[in-house]
Amino acid sequence: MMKKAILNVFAMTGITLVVLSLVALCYNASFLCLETVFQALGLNLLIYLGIMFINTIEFRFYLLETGLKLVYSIALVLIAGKIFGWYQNLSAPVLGGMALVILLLCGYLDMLSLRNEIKEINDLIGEK
Amino acid sequence: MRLIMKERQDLEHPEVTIEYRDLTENVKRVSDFVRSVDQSIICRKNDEDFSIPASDIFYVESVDKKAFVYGESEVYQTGMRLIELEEVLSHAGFVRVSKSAILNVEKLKGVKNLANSKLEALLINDERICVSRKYLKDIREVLMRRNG
Repeated sequence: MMKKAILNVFAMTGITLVVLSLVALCYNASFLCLETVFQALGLNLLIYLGIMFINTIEFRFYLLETGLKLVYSIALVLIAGKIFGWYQNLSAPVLGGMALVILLLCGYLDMLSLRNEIKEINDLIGEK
Repeated sequence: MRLIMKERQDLEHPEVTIEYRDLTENVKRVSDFVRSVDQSIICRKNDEDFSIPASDIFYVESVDKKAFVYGESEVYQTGMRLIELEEVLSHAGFVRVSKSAILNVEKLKGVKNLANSKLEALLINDERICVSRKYLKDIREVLMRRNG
């Protein structure tokens, strides 16, 4: 489980850095600061831990669960932006939009992972 | 693994002795299976008590702190709590699938992902029960243990 958590956090960080680089290109930037890499890693770790905690709660409504995860993640990104001084280069809506794109990409990967898990279980049931 | 069967007229009930050098996974599987054969739960229906074999139970669900035992088409109530049933029936192939239900994997026909990101287990009697994602890993482990 720890191995899966580490892989997920690094995957999220990788996606974050790719999206950040694409946005930076739009602003004619030519490099990302090293500290940004570690800021992204730390932030993704916090987001991941929060989402794992939310996953332990059983929600009756799927939209409520998804909404809570989205609000938590984007709020954390905006707060981190204030702490790390990201608003010097990016506006809050752009930062929020980036966070949304990253979350959608991660959500898609998560959905693929779930599909694989279900397929594996159904294959095991077929072998019984 | 060798199987030796001996008929003994002096025995009142069948006895199973498992002799092993190392307690391997296969030995544990055999012992779990033997333990589960006679496992039954005392349930109540229409003011009558029944002893329901674990192999006949499809799933157990807890509603308002009461545990309901579901057979193929019958429903019983038991005085045991879900957490006690989970422990007692763990050797019989039962696994927790949500906060309020445990399922007999032998009765599982498949797992499906619904449109609203909920999961559903389809049973061999075509009944469906909700499965929580956090228990998928446990379901997989029990199935892998059963399949060997």
